[in-house]
Amino acid sequence: MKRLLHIALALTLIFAFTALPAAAKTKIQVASWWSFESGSSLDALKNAFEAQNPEIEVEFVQIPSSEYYTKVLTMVAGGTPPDVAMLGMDKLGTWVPRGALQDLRPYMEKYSVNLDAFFPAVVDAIEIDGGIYAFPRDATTSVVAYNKKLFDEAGVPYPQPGWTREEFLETARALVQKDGSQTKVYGYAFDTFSDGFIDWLYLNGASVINPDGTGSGLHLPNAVEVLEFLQGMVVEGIAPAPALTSTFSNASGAFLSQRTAMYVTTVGWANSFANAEDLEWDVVPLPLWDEDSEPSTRLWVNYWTMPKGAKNADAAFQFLTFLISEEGQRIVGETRMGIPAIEELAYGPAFAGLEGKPEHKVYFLDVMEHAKPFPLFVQSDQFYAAMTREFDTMWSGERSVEEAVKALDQATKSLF
Amino acid sequence: MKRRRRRETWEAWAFLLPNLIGFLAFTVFAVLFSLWISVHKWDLFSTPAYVGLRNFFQLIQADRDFRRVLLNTLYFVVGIVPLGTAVSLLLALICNRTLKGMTLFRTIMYLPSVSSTIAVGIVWIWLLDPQFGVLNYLLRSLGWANPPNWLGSVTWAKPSLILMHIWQYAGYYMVIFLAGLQSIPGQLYEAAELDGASKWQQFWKITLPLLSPTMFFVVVMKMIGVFNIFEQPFIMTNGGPSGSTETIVYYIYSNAFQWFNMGYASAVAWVLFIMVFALTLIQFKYQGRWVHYE
Repeated sequence: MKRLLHIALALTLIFAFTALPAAAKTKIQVASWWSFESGSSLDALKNAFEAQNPEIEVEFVQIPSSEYYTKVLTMVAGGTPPDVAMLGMDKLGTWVPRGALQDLRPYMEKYSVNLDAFFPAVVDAIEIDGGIYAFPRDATTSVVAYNKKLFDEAGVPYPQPGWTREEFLETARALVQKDGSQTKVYGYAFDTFSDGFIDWLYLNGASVINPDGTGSGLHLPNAVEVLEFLQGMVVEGIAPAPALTSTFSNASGAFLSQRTAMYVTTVGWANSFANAEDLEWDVVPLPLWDEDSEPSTRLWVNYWTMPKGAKNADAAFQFLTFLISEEGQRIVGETRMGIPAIEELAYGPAFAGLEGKPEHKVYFLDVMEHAKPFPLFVQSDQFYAAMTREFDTMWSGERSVEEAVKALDQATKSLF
Repeated sequence: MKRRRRRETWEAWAFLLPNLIGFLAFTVFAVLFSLWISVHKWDLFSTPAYVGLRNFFQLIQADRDFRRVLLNTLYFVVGIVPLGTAVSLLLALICNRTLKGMTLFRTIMYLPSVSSTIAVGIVWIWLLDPQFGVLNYLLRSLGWANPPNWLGSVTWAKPSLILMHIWQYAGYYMVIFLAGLQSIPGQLYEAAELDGASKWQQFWKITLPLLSPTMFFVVVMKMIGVFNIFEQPFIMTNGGPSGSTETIVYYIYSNAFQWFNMGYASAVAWVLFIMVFALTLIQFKYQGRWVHYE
């Protein structure tokens, strides 16, 4: 009896081990904050990739955006990372120095992958310290979105490329509509978090950190000029105070509910405006700071990355390569959440040629040649927390710009 | 007999084990680990580097942010503990009467404390909204043309959170007071009434002294709770405006999970623990002066 049992057990084991390899596919886990129900773009990516690579199975892990970074970073630190993770641009600056992401260059050499077809600005935005730690999901520049109906009501002509900050201010001023003491429509609305006003800094040759990356850059004269310009609009009542903006959840909400006539938009927000049927709007490049200034815009890239310790690195890289292929980029481009990173595709059917508003989507692409990447630095999370704190009362004019930028410089000195 | 006892001991251990393992792994280990990590610099990825007591010196001597969050937290403690205790006591006194509909009233008062702070917080964000909020609507209809922007103003954000916190936990402590009130023997009041004591005198001479052990419990628990206040500012103000509602626990959270300064966050947590522990000890030491056990 006992012998029989042993034989049965041995047979079971032999069967189990010989049967396994034939059935097993390499499964890769892909973390993102997008939903992946059937019909979604993630689902389309999975189907298209698996059709080309039947030996690999893609499994999506959806993590709510509010806890996404903490969760993924904890997974990486705990040694159970996803094989591929979606990442917002700002995090590259803090994750790479911590060693949370893998350099993709060795894999690119191994599998002969190059980035020649990409917008040069996008390639700049994925290189850090000589390594490539991310592939682009999609990119976005910023342009000014304007509400045509509100322009018509105020009898103001639509803005044209090449306009200046002075013209922007006059236009915004003329668009304000008041009902007694209450403002019905603002000329312009902006957010006060890091990327809500960085385009303006770039237009005047400033940035949030100084040119050497050794401290805050917001107390430098060009930045102060920009902050005073924005504060001036709030104080004059052309733009809503930040606390009021939060009533619309953010400045894009004010544009969506037609409470502001202009808003500096990215492709992602433009997509939500495009879905609002009663909104008549278009876009125009950002104004020049002065007549003789260079044009500029902020470039934001969303990434696909391979975290440190990814279990199936080669299969993960296969998937990453697919994501930046024409097919992968086309699928993501159709979500209208960003510009495909492949230049030809962007000017073609996957972005500029898409149906629907805004009429001049091509401006998002035309400004790409002047685009400067969003600044990446390891102290950014703590720096922006301090910035929010020191600037909160500055925007509404309760605190002077000079005082706020000086306080920020002091408060963040120890970080650099 | 001996065998049976040994078996019972084994059974007892077997039943205790799941809980014990959880307690050892998730409490004892976590607490000791945080103590160890508080004397290190660690960002989750690199190997922890021993820094001695530098984290503690830094936060006590040089960290202006810690001073700010400490003062904010003390503001909440001073604002919430006495007022919140008084409100709960008042509610308990009201609920202690046998009136029609009292059960319903008690239930309504208790509901907020069993609701999720996130849900309650979002409701309060709407109530306090400067433009569309019910509160400002009422104030405007009463003739206040420009009522405050409650959660968006440095002056009003803290009082707003205090109001919300008191409202949220009033029912919970009311129930504790109610239990205390109902354990006071009725004949004491009868005797006092015969001696001609007014209701007011009865409250001061009988209710309050006999309720003092309950009051002590409430004050201690509330103080510990408020020192740990986190969800309300996290949900409702993100610690703003200008960091005016950022509390110690919020600071621990930011350091640990946003900036990945694990060692520093643990040091802050231990300083918080020592402060709360010391204050609780002081309360226990001086309770003899005002707490009367029968």
